[in-house]
Amino acid sequence: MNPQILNTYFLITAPKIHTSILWDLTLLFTILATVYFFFVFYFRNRHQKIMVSRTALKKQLAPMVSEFLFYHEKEGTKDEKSSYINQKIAIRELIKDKKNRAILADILLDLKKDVSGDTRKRLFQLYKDLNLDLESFLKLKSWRWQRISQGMFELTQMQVLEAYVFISRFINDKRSVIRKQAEISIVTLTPEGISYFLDTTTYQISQWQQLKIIEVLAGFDNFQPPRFSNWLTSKNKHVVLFALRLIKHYDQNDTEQAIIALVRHKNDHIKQEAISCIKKFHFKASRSTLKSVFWKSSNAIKLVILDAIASFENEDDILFLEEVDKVDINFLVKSKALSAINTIKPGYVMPTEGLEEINLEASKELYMVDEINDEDLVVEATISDHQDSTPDLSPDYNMKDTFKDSEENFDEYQKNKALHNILESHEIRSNLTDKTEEKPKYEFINSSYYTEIEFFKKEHTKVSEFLDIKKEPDLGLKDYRALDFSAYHDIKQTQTGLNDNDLLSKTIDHESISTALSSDHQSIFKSLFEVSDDYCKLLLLDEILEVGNSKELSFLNTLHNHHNFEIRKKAVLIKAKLLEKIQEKEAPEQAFDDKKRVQTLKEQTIDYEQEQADNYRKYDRDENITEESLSANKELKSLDLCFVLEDEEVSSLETKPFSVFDIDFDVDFSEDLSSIHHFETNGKENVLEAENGLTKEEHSFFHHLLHFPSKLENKLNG
Amino acid sequence: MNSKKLLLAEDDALLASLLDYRLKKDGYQVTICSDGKKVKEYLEENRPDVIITDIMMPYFSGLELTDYVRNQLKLKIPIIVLSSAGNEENVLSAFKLGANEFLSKPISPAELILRLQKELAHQN
Repeated sequence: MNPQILNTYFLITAPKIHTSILWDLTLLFTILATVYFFFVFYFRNRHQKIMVSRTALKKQLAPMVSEFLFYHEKEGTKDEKSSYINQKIAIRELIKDKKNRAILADILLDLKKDVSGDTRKRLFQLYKDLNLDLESFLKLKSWRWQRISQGMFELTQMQVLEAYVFISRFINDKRSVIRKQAEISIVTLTPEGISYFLDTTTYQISQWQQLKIIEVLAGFDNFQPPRFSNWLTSKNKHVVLFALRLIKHYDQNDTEQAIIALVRHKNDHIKQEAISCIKKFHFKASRSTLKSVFWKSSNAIKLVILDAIASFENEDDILFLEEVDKVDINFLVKSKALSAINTIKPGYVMPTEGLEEINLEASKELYMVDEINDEDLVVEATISDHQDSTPDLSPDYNMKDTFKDSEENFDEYQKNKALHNILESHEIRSNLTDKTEEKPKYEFINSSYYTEIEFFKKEHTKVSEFLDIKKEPDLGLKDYRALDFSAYHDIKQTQTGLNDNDLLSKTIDHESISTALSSDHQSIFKSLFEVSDDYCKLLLLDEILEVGNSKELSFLNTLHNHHNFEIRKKAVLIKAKLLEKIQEKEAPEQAFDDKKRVQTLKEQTIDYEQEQADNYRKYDRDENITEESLSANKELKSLDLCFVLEDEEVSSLETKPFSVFDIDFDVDFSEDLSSIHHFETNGKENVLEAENGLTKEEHSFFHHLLHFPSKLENKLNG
Repeated sequence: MNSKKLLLAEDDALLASLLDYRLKKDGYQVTICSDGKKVKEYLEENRPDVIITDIMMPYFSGLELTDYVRNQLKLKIPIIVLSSAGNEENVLSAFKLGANEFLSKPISPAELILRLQKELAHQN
């Protein structure tokens, strides 16, 4: 057969369906729908009828119940007594029916929610008198969980204490609904039920259940809670957890050691709850345990531990928290660590991210100018006061010299005047308040400061150039001085109305004006320092030692809190050396006291060395520290140590051996070494002894001998 | 014996029945209304000496009833408010609207009688 014909045949022919079947199906579904609706209506009506009959029965029984509740045998009249007896008989007849018993039990349970006091007690008694509790006991024997649960609920609500023993059997029932109802019932029936429950239960106690039980316990009058620490050793971890919560709830803080021990528990919930208890009860003895547990804990526990540590507010924990900030990789934990630090010591960690760059020094200057304006100080008086109080300032900055310079270079002064005018239109100036604009004399001091900053930035970025200027003042430095002079000039002109000639006849100490700046701003290195990178900063610190004076001391003090450890360390070292240098110039009678200060600083330096060694170990773990910076640190370490030891003229003794020569010398001068080392730890007197042991020539000889290998090495290295 | 007319506005039939029995035992003429609508209808024609009302009722809450009695009917009869939600907000609202007493459920019938007597004595 042709396939084309076949296809056509199948397409045009539809399958035959018997229409009689469709009618049959329609009829079938109609019948099913009718039956379904019939059953719905039937059961709905039946339910309604039952409800109506129950309501009617309740209405019938409610007055009877009320009469039973409020009947007083002594107060009642004869009619009331007879009515009461009749009611009693009637109700006895009614409760013979099972349905009526159920309705009566419902009535009593409903009323129990609405009444209190004596009426409630009578209600409980009535429940027992009518033997309704027997019905509830029978429910306990049912195999259906909802009936057992209902029976336990009724017995509990009606305070049937006899049911305690029967209900306690269901504490470890495998069906959770029955078990939970049994737990609530046991705890509700007697205050001792909580102890039995915690002793017996082997199942999990849900948080909701815990809350319900705590609520039940709170409902007891004069409840004396047992010592919940007894259950901290339970084999059921849920019992331990619940016991911890109960300890916290009832403030039972007499189990410090047990709670601290639970911080080491493997279960995170127990651990967390124990830490929560520790925090609440302020168990400071747990600090070491918390820290030791910290690194092995999950992030959630870490946060709780940090929270607890913060609550102790012990400054000794800051180091640990800083380590957490450095080592931990989780953002939340790091943030929490910083937050904890600030909780312990407010303001210890300052915000650094996302801040706009502004010139804080300029702002400080402006603020200072405002303060001066407010106080309406007489400048001359201030100058004389500061002359008395600032003896250490360098004579190079004497205003007399400045004055002479500006007299000789009046053209430069005029140039700076013009520069001042330009600076008046500077952005910072626009931020000045009207108050400062009224008194431009102080703004000019500020402008001169800005000139200084610009000057260093643009023309003397290299340290060597700057140092040349310092030694041989050229135009740039004169600019600076002239501006200072012009500041004074403007002040005087505004205040007294004197002309330039009058001013020229006066001698003013520049140092006094400079004291108007804060002490750390007086250092010429400060502005350079702030625009340099870390490596340049280290170089600058070396230069401070070379050319710096007492003005640099305050600036070096500010570096003690520098974020870079190397700079921090080096600042201390340089400060010590600078102090020594200054003291050499001063009177010999002061030398001894100052030596002590130097000595203290050196000891600090040695402490820093130790701290650095510790930090190196930490940095090894720190991913953020690059290998380059690490190697730089190591180089610096040896150099700095050399500096210290060089001062004591034993430079090669303490340093690490660089070559074979160093090792030999170490052996030869072991005695000296030990005595010097002893000095570093014990004080100044020992080193004096060590020094006194040698003549000057011997000392010099050994010094050169000690330095010979390193010098030779340097020469070889070019 | 008391012959004071008392309106009991309570939608819980069991509690209403219980209080009705107890109050009648003390000689009060008690009228029970199970919702706010019936209360309003009753008050249009009658003037009770005391009103005991539940807060949660159909149509009209106890607080609305208090407001209605005080501000629209301008009656100064004692109003005792009952509520199972004895939170601060309800208590304050009830007293602000002019309720004389507030009792939280479960209530003690004996206490209710005492407070009722006190209010009536105060009114007299």
